[in-house]
Amino acid sequence: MKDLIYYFKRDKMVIIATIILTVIILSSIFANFIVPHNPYDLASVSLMDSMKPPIWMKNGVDKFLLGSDLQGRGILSTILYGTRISLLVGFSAVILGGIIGVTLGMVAGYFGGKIDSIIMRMADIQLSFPTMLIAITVMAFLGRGIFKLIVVIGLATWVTYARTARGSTLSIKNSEYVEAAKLIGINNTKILIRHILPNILTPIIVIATVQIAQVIMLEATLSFLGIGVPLTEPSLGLMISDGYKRLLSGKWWLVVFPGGFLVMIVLSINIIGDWLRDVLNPKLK
Amino acid sequence: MKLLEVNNLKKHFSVNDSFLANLLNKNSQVHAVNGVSFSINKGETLSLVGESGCGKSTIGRTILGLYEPTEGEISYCGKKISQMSKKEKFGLKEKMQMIFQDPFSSLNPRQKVKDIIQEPIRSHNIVSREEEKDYILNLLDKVGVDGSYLNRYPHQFSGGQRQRIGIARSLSMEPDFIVADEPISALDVSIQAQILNLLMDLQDEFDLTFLFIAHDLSVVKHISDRVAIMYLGKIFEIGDKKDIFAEPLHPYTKALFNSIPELTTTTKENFSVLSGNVPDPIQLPQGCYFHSRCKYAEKICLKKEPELKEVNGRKVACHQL
Amino acid sequence: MQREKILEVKNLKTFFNTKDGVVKAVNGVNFNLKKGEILGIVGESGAGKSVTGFSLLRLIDPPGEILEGSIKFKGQDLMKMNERDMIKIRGKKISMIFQDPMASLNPVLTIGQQLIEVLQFHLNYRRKKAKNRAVELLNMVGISSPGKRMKHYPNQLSGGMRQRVVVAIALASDPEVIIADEPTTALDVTIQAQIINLMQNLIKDRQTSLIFITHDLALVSEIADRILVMYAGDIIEYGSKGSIISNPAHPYTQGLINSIPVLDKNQKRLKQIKGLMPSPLDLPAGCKFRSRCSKKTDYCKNRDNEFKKISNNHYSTCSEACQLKKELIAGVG
Repeated sequence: MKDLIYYFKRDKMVIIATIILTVIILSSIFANFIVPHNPYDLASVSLMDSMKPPIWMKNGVDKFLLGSDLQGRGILSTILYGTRISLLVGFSAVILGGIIGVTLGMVAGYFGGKIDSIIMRMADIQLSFPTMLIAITVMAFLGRGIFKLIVVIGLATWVTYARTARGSTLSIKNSEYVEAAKLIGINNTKILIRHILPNILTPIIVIATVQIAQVIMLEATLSFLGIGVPLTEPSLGLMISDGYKRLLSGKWWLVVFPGGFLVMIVLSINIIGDWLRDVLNPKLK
Repeated sequence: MKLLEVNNLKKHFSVNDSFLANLLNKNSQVHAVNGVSFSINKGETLSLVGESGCGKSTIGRTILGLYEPTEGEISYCGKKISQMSKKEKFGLKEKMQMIFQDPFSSLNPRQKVKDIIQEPIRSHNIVSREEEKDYILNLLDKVGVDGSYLNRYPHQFSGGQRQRIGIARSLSMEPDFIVADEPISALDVSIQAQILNLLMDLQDEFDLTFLFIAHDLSVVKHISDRVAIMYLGKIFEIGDKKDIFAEPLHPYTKALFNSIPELTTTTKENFSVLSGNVPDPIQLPQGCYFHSRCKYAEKICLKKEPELKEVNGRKVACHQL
Repeated sequence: MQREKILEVKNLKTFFNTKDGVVKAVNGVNFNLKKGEILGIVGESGAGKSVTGFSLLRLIDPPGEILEGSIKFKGQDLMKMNERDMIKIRGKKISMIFQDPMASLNPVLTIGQQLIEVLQFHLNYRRKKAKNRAVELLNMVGISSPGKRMKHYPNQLSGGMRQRVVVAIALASDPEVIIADEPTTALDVTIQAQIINLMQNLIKDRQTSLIFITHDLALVSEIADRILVMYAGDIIEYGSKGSIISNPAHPYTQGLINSIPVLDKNQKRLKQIKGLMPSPLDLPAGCKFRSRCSKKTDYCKNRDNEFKKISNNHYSTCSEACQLKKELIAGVG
């Protein structure tokens, strides 16, 4: 932990990325207190406010810092509420995929033999379909929904964790401290939880960080395509999809702000993920 | 009294269990241990000596149940381990423990010292929860680790101290029999002596029986009562330490003894006596395993495998004696 | 007979700047190497012996740094040389053998290719000539059917064979100095004996000088002419082998000798050196062995690191040594 702080202080990019990400996360969590109205509360929107440009432009209104959309919802408000959902989907799907993948990967690596073959062949088969294709197909079949989205993305991404977990498990399952645990008579489940899991977490955390960014992108893409978050909920993907249709009519703020926000989130997470991978890699020390 | 008896132990590992190899039936075997028999009396130290790949570590791990024997029997206190129930085998773990070679990989890096030693105590209910802390502190004191380090992680200790913590873990269940697998070879010279002294003190105090696995003959001579010299999964010579060190009989034992560097003030012209390498354990040679490197080898050595036989109060496997 | 000094090292200091602070690995060591001599450098891990070896060839990468000192190779100061000239010294005039042969062999090239490459690079041999010489070299280091072995990859050879190949590569350019860093530590005793023998014989024939770095005092006593003992980045004692082994002056050297079990002696308990080497991040002033020493006095707290003469060809930094009656170590002969 001390090491992490030491390396953290020496890397300006990561400090900036972390600050940006923290601000984004906090402001989306506390969106209710920051922005004047809930864009999806029909009582608070008025069609009179439709298509207002950002505040610094001619016709800009004080109420809408970054302008408003066709229905009269503030862009900033919608972005913050949408980010909340993006982050919710991102973290939940990664946790779900991580739990499934790490469990299966550890079991495959530790027991080997037939169990290993079955799990890893399953992984191979799933890997031969692009994640996007699986997600699109299943979501198109099931219909929109945040919970469905989390489950589908989680199931579509378990393989990455499983492969890493299996590889790390293979490299430490014959280590002397695992042998020592066997000699004490500790059962396999406890060995996996106490002795293997804590020692394979490092690479998993790195992957999970990068995966959060990818899942957020995946969510945005699915929503953009109209098969992700329902229309009644705010979402960066939906906003971009809406704005994109009106780009030619000069209403650039509809797409530039949510798009820029998405890029910032994904970029910050990726920078942090890359940095974690470098710092936690024992070979580079 | 015989504490442990090993009878005609064999252990082979398959090297190639890939799909294709299985299909072509080309599953080759590494012959790690090829029929080894010996026994250890209570309170005694038997050392297994040999070069890497001679199967000495495999024997230790098979005795402790980390590997299933391919063939042969291991008995503890006169009872065959293969015929024990699951419960008896679990109980046996308290009696038989191991000290590992590498103090850097034998402790879980994510566990505190307290947890490392607590784990065996709790899973075998050695002492009650109230007595636990005192019990652990007492153990640490015995092995020479300061009690205030209970909440530290392994990486905060030096190699010697880690080895002491590993020893405390092995002793926590009050075992009778300990397999010490090269316990000092990964340590610095000045620390080696500290650990060696500790092991001998603990043996006196707890009446421990050691199977000591090593390649360093001067250390082996220091600690053992009896010695077995191994080569390619076979015992070539076994007997009382004093006899063997006074007069090694097997040509391999002799060569091994001559290859050991010793503190000296004169430069030896030639201290290598053995040419060539150990044969491949996948394709065992015919006859005596040592014949390809032995200068006394004759026709019979190429054809017939020598049996261990009594010579001058010890057992030796050589046709020429 | 005074032999020519081939390497003269003065006040060599190598530090590493790590996140925990400055690791003072080598703290100003002075020594020289004569032509045809085998010099053993002994010490425990962290004593600075390997870093000394690497520093001689300026193979210290950041965060490490050679702070000061001069390394004179036949009168030329290697520290003042530019990197281009240094390449001509490294591997050609001074070559190195490492503990792990796999670390110095390229796993995707055959051993023949690797030998030929060295010969072409350092000696500008034509391919044909290089090939013939490579076979000769393999034969010389005792590899049977060298022509066939040329086509083998390192992983097809046993540990002992690989180290033989490394020796062959080190000798290929006919260097004047070889630095061997624990060359046999990863090998079995009978193989170790073979490699040591091989190196001894090859060096004697060519009058090559050898710096043999090891933790194994017994091994070094078998082959070296002179021994340097290092502790916490300092040379604490040096001299002819006979004198050091039979009459060690520094309490650390004495402790080291006493803690090795001796084959033809019966001892119940080994004499051990208590405690640990101080961390190179936080070296104490005065004698660095003080905290572990049974003979320490107040004077040790701030004494300098000057060498005191014990006898001809034998010097030690411990002043106690001069006053104390010299202890003879029994069982060593």
